Amino acid sequence: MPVIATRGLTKRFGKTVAVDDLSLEVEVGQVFGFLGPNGSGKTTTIAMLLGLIRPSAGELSMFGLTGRRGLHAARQRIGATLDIPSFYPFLGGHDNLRIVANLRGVEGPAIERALRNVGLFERRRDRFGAYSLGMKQRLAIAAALLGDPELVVLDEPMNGLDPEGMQEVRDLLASLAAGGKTIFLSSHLLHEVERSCTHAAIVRHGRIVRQAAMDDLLASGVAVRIVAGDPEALRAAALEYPDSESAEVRGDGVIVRLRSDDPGALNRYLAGRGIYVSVLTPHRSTLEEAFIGLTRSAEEVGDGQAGDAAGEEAP
Amino acid sequence: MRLGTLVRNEAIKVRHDRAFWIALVGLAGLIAIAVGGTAHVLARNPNAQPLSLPMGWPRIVAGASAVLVLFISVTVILSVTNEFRWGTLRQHFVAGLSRDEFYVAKTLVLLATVLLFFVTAVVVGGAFALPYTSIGSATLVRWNDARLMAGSLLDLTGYAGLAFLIGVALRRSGVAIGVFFLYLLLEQIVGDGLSKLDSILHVVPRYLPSAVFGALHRPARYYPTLAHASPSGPPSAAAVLPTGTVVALAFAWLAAFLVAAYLILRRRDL
Repeated sequence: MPVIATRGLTKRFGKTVAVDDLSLEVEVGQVFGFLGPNGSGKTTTIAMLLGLIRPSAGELSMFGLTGRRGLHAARQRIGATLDIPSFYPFLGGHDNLRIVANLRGVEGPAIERALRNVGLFERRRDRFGAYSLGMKQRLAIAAALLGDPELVVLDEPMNGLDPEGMQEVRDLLASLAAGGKTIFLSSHLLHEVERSCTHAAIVRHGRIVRQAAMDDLLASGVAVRIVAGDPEALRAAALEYPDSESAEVRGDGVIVRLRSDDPGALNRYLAGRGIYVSVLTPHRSTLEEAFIGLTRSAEEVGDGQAGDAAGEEAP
Repeated sequence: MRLGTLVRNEAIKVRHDRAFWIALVGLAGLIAIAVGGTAHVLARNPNAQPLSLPMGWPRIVAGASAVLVLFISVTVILSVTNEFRWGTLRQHFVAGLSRDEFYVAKTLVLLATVLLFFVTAVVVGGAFALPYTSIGSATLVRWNDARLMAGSLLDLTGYAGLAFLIGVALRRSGVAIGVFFLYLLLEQIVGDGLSKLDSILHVVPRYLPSAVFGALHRPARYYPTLAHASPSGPPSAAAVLPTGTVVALAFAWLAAFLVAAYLILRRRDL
């Protein structure tokens, strides 16, 4: 049974469609990245998952539970951070967590543990309003982890964190995943998602462009690195190859993304033009490359058709 | 419904909410200045009765009413709108607080605010009348005084209910406070206009919320001998209605405000 399952989830604000026919499934133990540019509908989707806003259409189940009562019960098993850390500015971190702990039925020692885990124990008496954005984000993560939830939903948790803080969150995600927790992580920081997630969905204009395991996502299309003399000339030649999708100079070589899965044909094509390749190796895409490729092809195909493609690819 | 949890959480907030305590101290200060000033002036006037208890209660309670409406309604609006402004309702909803629980918690805050502010006004006001009171000669609170206080409490709770509804509906403190006082002004203007008509519409103003609530703290309603005294402005349109009717109408308006606030909270996205 999936931890999160949506079918045709849609949210309209007047004439604006923020989330459009979104279907996704997150299984137990996955670290699921929910990727998309700002304004793509990530936060609206999370708000619907958490019951903060009601869908205009579609179905939603959490832990197999549906309906108002079912989803309210399911939320007791979820810890979440929102897009903006939201606490009382006149209360200290400790008192803010006490309120959350009371709602979750958690005892005092857990609050101190949570504060220590996110490095805020020494500043627990300081007013939340005086915290830096990074400290606010860490307090939100501490609140999300109170009560040992089965599912952790994190909306842009890296926002405002310095590199050290980001590393801490990365380590935290790793330890949560190692503990068997399911994590749903929304972010526009692609390299962070690539490093932390086992699965991901790419969302654009409220629609899922692709949902897959991270390895499958990174293996999208065939890309090769070729080296042969002047990289600029090589790039120009590669771009003229009919099956090349893109070609980009990287160091002394060129990364060529192919529509077909036959790199040998590219080699023959280049040889036919008098370019003899000295190196031809498979290139593993970064998530950023996959993301740009997928969203660009969705853009080219057009919104309507992109949505259909998403429907086919989403499990 | 976890009443104990809701009360504990609201207590944590109120205890550290400086704005709440500043409002309470400000109210006490204003009452002290107003009642203390009156007591001083009366004491220096050989032709006037000094402000003593229990005779002074009508003047103290009715006189405090307008300032209490101001402080209570603003405090209630802020207690609701700040939860939207700071996003804490969303945060706590995610942590397991239901919409129903939020509603109950804020209704409890409303009642506690009305009671605490009213008691503060009565205690501070009464304290300034004590030096002129011969303790032991008579009871400090007569039956009519108790009825006036109960009427004033209902009056204030009604205004707090209206403030609560506006706060839940508008979610922004500045706008909500503005709309609350604009409504009171408009009701007064519309009521005055309607009461001058010859048609059946001239009876409508006496059933409007502010007229009904305002009629509850008029000393003349509880002290027939003080019918001529009206220390807090002109009589409301509902002054002509029997007390039982006014009380029933006040409860009806209060219930309407609370039910409307509940429905808005249940139906709208957070």
